Amino acid sequence: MNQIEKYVLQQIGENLTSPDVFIEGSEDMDFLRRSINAGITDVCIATGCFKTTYFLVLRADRMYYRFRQTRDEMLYPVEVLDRTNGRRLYQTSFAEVSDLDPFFMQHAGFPTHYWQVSHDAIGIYRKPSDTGRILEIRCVSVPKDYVDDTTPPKVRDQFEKAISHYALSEYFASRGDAKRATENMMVYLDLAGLQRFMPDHNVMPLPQKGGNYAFARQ
Amino acid sequence: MLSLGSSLPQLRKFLRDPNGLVWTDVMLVSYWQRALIEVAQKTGVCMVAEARPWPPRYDYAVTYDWEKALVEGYQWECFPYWEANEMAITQGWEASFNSDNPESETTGYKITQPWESCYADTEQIIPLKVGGKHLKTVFAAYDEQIVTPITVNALGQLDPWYRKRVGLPLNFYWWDETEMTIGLYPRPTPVYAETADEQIYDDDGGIVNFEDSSLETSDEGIVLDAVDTADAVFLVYQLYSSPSDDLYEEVDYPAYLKHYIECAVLEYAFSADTDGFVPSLRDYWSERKKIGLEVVKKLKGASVRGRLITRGASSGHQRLKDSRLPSNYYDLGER
Repeated sequence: MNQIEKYVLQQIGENLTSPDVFIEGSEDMDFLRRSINAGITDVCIATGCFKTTYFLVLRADRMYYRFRQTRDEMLYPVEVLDRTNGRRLYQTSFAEVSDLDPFFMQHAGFPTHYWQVSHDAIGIYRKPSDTGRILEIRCVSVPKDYVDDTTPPKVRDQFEKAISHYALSEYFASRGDAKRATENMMVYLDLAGLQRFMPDHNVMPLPQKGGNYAFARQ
Repeated sequence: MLSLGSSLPQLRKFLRDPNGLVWTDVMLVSYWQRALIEVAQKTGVCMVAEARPWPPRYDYAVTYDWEKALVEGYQWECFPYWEANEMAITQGWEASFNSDNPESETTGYKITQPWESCYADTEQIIPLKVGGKHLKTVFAAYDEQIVTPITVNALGQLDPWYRKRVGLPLNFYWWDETEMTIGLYPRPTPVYAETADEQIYDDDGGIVNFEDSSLETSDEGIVLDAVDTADAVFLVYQLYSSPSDDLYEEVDYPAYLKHYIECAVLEYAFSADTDGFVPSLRDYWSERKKIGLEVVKKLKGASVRGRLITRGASSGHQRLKDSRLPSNYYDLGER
């Protein structure tokens, strides 16, 4: 049992040494784990705290690549490195790359730019003229759901308590107690530092550094 | 891939209705369909990048509406329907055949499948069906050259003979927004090509080449699909999915949207005027859904926040000293 599960079961009064309801392999334990996975997903999307690395082998004359995600799920790339040249690619968009080169889909060469095309595809400019070049893509991702004790949940320690309250919120909702579910949801948002997502919370735009310039983040 | 069937145990647990006595599977399916549309429309993260061959390939050519219910796959209503006489006609002049001064017969081919345009000149609009339920086009290209959107109205004003034009496409226009078909202007010169052995269609209808490399089983590598855009219409668009009543039909949404769709389904379920109407739980799941959608909306901004953005040099606008003269005339000065 991991720390998140222990905390949740303590809060609902379950015996940790010999549980009555939340036994390993039972439906209730699966339900709890699904809630915890949902909380981890929520936190990773909101904070971008989980990153993974994918190695993408480029093919000759191919500009767009769709990921076949078998483990973690990519949200967006934050860094793309051309391992052959040892250089970092610039992030761009359809509008910018077509402004840079109106015939960008036809020209081949070594890649200098990338952009996210859809939730599971990226584009590379320029498309490579030969096969075998490798891009190392660092992405913010959502970790694969953990289903049993052998796979620990992939989440930062600082968010564990928050996710516990997320799972508690769903537990009380499943019992029809909307009041306690809402209370725990507010605690989750507070502990995870996501107060701006609280209902009826007035969101102030964050000031940008350096006036009109936005700096690259690592 | 998401499906209602995979979420059903969790939903029934939250509804406290394991046997479907209050909320039947049929009701949950309708809530699921509604939730898919709402989440896609409000977040805009459900995007598809696909390449479609040209000429487009249809499974069936139909002439009457009733035929559409009897066939599956992509259908094309190839011939116009003559409302006055309740029949399908092939050529426009047929509508005046029985009149005193009928329109003269015109020559030219009518095709029933788009590939026939490779062998016969035709002025028919050859529509390309866009896969899925289209919300908004982000990018389009034909044979690796950008095509920009244009309305039929603007196109008709620009070129009244736009239906006859054949050449390298510059624009695309929505031909039928109900059937989700677009046309290209000018219509590309069709080249019929057999589908190569290594090219197969995936379930989304795009042309993909599967990579069967050593990275397939590695933890660090990924199996990938490289999208082949040569001689094809490449489209990137936002979509929403409206699946059938099959519980286990999968929709091509990002997997991380699953829980937010479940929140929306639960909101609808608890707000229905049934024995399970619980306003407090309806409000709870409604707020959960809103929070989730707000979190997902931030994804778009987060994905571009890491970019280096600089202000370009100001081009300015030079005021001509003498607007009557071209700018390359030398300054006459005072004489």
